Amino acid sequence: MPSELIDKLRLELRRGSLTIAVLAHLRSEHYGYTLRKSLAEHGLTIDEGTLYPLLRRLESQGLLTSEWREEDKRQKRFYRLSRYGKGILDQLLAEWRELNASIDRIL
Amino acid sequence: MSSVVELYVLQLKSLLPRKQRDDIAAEIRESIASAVEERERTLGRKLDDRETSEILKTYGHPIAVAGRYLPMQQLIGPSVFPLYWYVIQAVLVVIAAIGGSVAAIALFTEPRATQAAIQVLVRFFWIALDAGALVTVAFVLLDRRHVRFRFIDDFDSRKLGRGFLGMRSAPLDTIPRWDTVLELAMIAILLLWWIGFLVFPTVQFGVKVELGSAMARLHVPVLVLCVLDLLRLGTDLAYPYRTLPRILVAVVSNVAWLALLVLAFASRDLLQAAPSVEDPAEIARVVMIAERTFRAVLLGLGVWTAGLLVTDVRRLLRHL
Repeated sequence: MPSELIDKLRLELRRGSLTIAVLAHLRSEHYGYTLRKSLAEHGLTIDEGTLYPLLRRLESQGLLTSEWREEDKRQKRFYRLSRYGKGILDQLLAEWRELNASIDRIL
Repeated sequence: MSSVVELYVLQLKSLLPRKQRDDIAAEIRESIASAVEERERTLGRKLDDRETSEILKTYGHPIAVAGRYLPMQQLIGPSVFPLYWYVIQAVLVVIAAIGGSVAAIALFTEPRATQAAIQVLVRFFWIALDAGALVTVAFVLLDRRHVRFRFIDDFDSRKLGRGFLGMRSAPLDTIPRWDTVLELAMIAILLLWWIGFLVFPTVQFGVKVELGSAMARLHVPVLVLCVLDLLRLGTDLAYPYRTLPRILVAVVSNVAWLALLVLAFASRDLLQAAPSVEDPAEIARVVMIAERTFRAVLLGLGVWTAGLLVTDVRRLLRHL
């Protein structure tokens, strides 16, 4: 039960942070697979079942743009932060830093 | 591409939203292909079906994967849900209390007690289901139409408790919810019996007994009092605290009930035999027995109502 509780709380904690991490990472262009790998290399593991629907949601909200392009003889969908997404990300990062500083002060 | 992957993507595709089906499936297929390719590069050989299945397992079952692409819809949104939860609990508790009481009465009065009680419980189970469905549909519609509740949106703690039935006054103490539910169930049963919706055994020693002319005169007053009491108790359920005006309303209600009970007790023709009965001597005897029983019930109700009245009067005197 305690581990279930930890998992649930961790999930809640990660949910918003993941969005910021994905948006920030897509300041440079990536397709799903390399984005996931790159996030993992930075210590942020995210499974495919979470990442792809998240990308699609962010795109439908206008925060990302995407295009199908051929690379290594395969069609791949490349994502990038949109102009609107950049503005939103800046605001989210300011919020994030403020929150982080507040929590640090509390801790 | 391995047939295992093709089968996986095919199954996933059949579960995805129609408009995005091809696009999502192509993206997932590409992602799987990249993962397989990387693994093959590491091992320096082609993957077999077992190894490919292991990769697919990290993506999850097609139903789970497709589910994440479906629109996140709520039947009842968070702005309406707390009110819905409160209303449905209140409705179900009241129905359960009425059903339980009627079942208990059936257990003590019906010839086939257990069977009758089960029948009552089953009937009330369906009533509860219907009521639950109706309340849910009503709140779904309210949510879909984005109906706002002013008393929640414009909440002001200074106004809390103002309004109907003397809630403008300062609350004195809380009313236990179970007391209200019990009273509500009793009044509801009385009302349902009074209007003929519930029928309790009326045959005594083979003679069918019905209410006499004295009781017929009380038909409208009892009906009115029942409805008023249901309103009062419904308010108690929604706003479970006492105020002086609300105690006063309860006192007036109990005085009225007591007056009706005294009138009924003092009447001559409480009960009479149904017109179909033929033997006059037997009729007189059975009516007498039934009438004595009925008087005992009236006496019990009178004592109970007087008890409530005395308690409320004491409350009033304490706070005046």
